[in-house]
Amino acid sequence: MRNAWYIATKELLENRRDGLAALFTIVLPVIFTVFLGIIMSSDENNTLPLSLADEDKGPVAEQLIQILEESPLLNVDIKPAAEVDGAVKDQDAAAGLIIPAGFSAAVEAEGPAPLTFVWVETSSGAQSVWQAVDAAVAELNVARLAAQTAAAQAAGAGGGSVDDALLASAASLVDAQLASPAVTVTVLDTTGSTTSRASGFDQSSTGALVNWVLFGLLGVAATMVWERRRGLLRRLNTIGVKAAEIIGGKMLAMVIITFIQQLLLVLLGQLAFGVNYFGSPLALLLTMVSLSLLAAAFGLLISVLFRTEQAVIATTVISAQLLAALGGAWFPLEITSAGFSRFAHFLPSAWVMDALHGITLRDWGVTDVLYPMGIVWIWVVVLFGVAVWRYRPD
Amino acid sequence: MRALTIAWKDIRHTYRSIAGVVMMLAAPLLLALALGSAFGSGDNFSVAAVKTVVVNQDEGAGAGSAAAGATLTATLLSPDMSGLLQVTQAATPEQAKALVDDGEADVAVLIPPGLTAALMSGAFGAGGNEGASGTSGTPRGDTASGVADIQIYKDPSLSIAPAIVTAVVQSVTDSLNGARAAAAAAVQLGLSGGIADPAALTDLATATAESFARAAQTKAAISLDERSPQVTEGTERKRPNVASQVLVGMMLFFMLFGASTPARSILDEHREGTLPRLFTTPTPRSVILAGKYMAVFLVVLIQAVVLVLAGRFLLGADWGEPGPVAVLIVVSSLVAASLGLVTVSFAKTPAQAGAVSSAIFVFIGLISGNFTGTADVGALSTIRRISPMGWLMEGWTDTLFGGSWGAIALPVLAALGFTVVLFAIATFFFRRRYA
Repeated sequence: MRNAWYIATKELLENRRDGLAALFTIVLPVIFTVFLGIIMSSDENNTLPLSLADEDKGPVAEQLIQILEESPLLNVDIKPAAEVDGAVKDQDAAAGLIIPAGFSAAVEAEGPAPLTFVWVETSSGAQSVWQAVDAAVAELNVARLAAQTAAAQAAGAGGGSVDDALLASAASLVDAQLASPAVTVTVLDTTGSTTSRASGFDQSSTGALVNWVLFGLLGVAATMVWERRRGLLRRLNTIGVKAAEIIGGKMLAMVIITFIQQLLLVLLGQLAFGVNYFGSPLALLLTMVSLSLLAAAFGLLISVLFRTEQAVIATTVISAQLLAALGGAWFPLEITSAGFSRFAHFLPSAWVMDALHGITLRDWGVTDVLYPMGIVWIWVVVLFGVAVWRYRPD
Repeated sequence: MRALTIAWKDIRHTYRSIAGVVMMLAAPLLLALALGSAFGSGDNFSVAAVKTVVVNQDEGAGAGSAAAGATLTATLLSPDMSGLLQVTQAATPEQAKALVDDGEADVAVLIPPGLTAALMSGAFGAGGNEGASGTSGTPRGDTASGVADIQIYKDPSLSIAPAIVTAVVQSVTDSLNGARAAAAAAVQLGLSGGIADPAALTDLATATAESFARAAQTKAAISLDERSPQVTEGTERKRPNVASQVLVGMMLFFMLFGASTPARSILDEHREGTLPRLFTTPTPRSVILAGKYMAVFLVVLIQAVVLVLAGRFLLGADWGEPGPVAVLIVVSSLVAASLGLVTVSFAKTPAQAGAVSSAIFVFIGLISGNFTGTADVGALSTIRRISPMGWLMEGWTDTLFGGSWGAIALPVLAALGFTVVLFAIATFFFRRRYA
């Protein structure tokens, strides 16, 4: 196996001397992480836009807008009423809300005060916005309705009638009760935090890891093709280096290169972008080793199957893009349909992304990543087996 | 004529490579198809049903009385919510949390044991409640203090899904708190009015809560009148499908790789010795280089035409007016060809050119929005314009959304400006090398 080690060290030396390797290993992944991180962190990607027209400008309308703006589900965009329908129709907004003139006065007078909700009824986004707007309306209705009901019931029980004084007393009592409600709602996540939300970098940093590990193989895979074309592999064969040693050396080099690349990206993600990679170092190590082996087996297969550098470059670029895009490295699979997510989980990249998200966001430990990594290892064995089977020195 | 012969040879060579054809034509179509199927419902704001697990620990307030926990659970399970929520029930908070931790559920709604009791206790003049429960552990239903805390335990990677469930739960909670507040206020008013009999006060509280629940359905002052968007005929903006929007980015991105393949043939021929041999013939070097340039341009032009047609017939892409689309195809091919030639002109060997150009192309794709689209995201919208591909992305997107000559004029001019500079740089380096 000494020959395998020599071959591996020669590959590592070549890689270290190659200025381009740094480009694939660090520079481009960092740019990818920053770009996608910024895009995914924007509110546009974490809320639903509500196009709102306020033709009333009264105090109740202002109160309603304030409640809507505080909703974590909504991104309120205030515009003239004439533009609301167009925004919904053009899908610039998930739904629209028009507060008509005289709305506040109607509410103060206890009269009917309808709001116009503009939506495409079949849109699930619009239905979600409806829930948020409905909750805001309920919040506004509750105090007045409770005061009216209390006054009416108390007056009925006492044999009197509802007058302004009774209504004011009821309103005061209701406000006091609602100020400290009996039922509260708390939102919290696995970390116990009530405010945390995954940042765009949690997705983009892990995505970059998966996306760029395959690109990192380009150099080694292309070199192997070049060596075969020049007859170097055949020459190694004739001086007694076994095929297993050549394959082992190349594979080892690919594993080491991609592991170092991952390590750098993980450190960068942790230190620069605040991604919590080190919640379970063992789980992370297992995932990184599995990803390196997967990438190496894949790179080996590509370099064995294809005879020209052009074909290797083409295949590496296509596979990296497809595996990354479909496996959830560009966008979280949670936002896609259940069918797409199921299909994506035929790919090993989706399982690696699951494990990385589990470690960084859900406090997963070693036992939690065993199942997804088991599937990745099946891929590794199959890819490596085919590569060894198809290997020819010339 | 000789330039055309050289170009034709390179075009044939490029399109004979299966790997090359797969990369130039199949890859962008496959990615567009895949991403189109992931997001291709035609609804920009499509939200997958939120996988919600409910634990109802509320035991109610005694035989015959309605339990608030059951009301909340029924709301979440109601057919009206089936489009938004995919609800299952679990026996304990630990089971529900484990489902969220394992990624089996998006959100867990944990209803505490003392929910109804907390509502009932407050309704009989217990006064205000202090100190809503903490933020960890089992949801608290503290009958003694009259506070019940419903916990929504969420997957931290999600934001929209938990917000939807929170809106639904909050809406129900507001009603419950409103009923309790009304009942408590009625009791206080009854006491002030001289009603001292506890049984009468209990009846008053119950009647008030029930009356509030009925009134909430029928007598609320503020209501929501729903309607579809009404847009005047002809002012409606065109909506392209998702696959075609993805295909624009992927087509432009893979056209760069399409251009670099024949461009690299200059280096290939140099290494194999056929280029120096060609230079010994009477054919001027400028004609040979012109032939190479034409080959690069024609290869990507063919690629673009095939992809646009495939997008039209396989993915249903409605590209827009033929004139602007034709101009964009030609300009895109010029830009891709110039970028392909420039990246190769720096390299010494074909392998180096392959690696260099791949890196540069991915970088260009990233800053131009080929992978992310042309969404207006702060500084990124400005950065996009330092790349000719960014301008082309804007031009293609405008035509997809119904834009015409006016919409593409600036992107086309900007892209052509880049092209002239890039061709000049490539020519300078090739001339210097082969002088």
